Amino acid sequence: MIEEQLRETFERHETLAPPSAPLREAIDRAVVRRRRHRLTRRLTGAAAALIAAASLPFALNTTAALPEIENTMLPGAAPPVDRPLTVAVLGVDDDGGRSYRADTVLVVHVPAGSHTAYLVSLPRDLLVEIPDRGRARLGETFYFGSQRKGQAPDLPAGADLTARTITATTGVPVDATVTVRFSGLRAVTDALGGVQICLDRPVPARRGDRVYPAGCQRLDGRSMLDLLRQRRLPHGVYDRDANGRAFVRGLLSSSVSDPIQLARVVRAATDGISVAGAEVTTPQLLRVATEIDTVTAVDIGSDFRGVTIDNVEYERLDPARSTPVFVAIKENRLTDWVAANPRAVRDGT
Amino acid sequence: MTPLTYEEFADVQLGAMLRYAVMLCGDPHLAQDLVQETMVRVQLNWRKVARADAPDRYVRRMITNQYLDWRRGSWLRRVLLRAEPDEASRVSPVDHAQTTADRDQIWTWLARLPKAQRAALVLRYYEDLPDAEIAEILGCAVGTVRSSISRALATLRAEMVETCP
Repeated sequence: MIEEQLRETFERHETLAPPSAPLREAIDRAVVRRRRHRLTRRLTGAAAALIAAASLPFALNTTAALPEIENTMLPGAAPPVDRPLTVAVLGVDDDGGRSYRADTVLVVHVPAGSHTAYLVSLPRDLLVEIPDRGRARLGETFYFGSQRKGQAPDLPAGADLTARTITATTGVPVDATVTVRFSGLRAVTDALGGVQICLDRPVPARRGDRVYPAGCQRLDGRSMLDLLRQRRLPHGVYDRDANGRAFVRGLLSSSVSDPIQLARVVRAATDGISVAGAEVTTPQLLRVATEIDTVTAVDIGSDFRGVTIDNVEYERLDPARSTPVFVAIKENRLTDWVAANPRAVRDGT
Repeated sequence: MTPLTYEEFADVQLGAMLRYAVMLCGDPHLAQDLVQETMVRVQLNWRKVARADAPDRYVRRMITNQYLDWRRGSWLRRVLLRAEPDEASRVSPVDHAQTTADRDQIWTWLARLPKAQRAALVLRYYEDLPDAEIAEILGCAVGTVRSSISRALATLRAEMVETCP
């Protein structure tokens, strides 16, 4: 009988429920605020910038000299970008500072008005045709573009050639490039006081007998770099790319509240990252960045098919899986494509 | 099949979520905060929510967790929440003659129950869910659901015997 009374009590108090229309508006307002706040947090986690929302480094570049990050980072009067953006993020590693190759090539696509950034990871040994030069591996393109006889490498030229090669190979136009030097990651990681990374499987260290165990761990810059350079893994560089993504996730969840530390992080990030873009202004990219709250990896297949030409091994994409993605990006309908092919994506954050 | 959008979901479910939250919190303002906080997260992570087998059950689970979590919130929140039931019991009139008052008394007693017990009662006697689903929403075993419900009912019965012998 107490049960009956309970039912009655609950039912009678239904009238206490507040009206839903005003609440609905309050929720929508809070979501807008939260998206903006998330960005601020992400920017203060400065390095987050690096890859995830590839446009964030623009913000770092422009504000590095200014200590009052929060104000300048919020999108003020920037006109909205009402078109999709594609940014190539190149993770480059140096050979003692003389030549650079792109070990990581990510294409980041943000559909017009979208809150999601889609990442497509291209294998660095991908067989490509460099415009006016011929066959090469994708990662080498950066080297061909940046190498200058008797001079220091020209990194912007390397990034430019890589971007044009990506367009020639995939058909996807690239609006801007973000070049991240691995050594820069080390400084950023240290400035953050270490970054937590969660690994799916243990990774043996390059030197010595150390093993980075599966699971979550906080690593300093030196160890992180060592870990990210590992490719003696069951699936070689693809596992390494997975580690890179795990690192990005760790970066995204790092946050800095101390302004002095923040300044240090921003400085470190600026030193390690360079940005070039023709079609978009910095405040516009910033505005796109404010609206990104999900980073999603699009799978274009990882069982790449090897091919050997003149004793050089290359990889080819599986066109059945990659072409639809590239076409969807080019035709500005990636969002619909992902909705129709939910299995092809994995949430990054 | 077009995927469910957040807007469609909110159109249909927001009212029900608010009523559910009122039953949990016993207070319209707290309920509003609870639903707002949860629905903001729902909207921000909509794709994940939409992918769940039953989005409404998923969201109900989010609301429940948020409600149970408040207990572990800041000291300020804890103090405020603790203060609330006592105040309620002080204000509400105790009138044995009126059945309405009796029923309101149950409402007051509910506020003194541990949160997980109250949530279990709401899920069974307001939402009319089977124990298995209650267990899923509360994230515990079916046995735990049954024992917390029977413990809660025992507490309520004892209160009742005390006030109306």
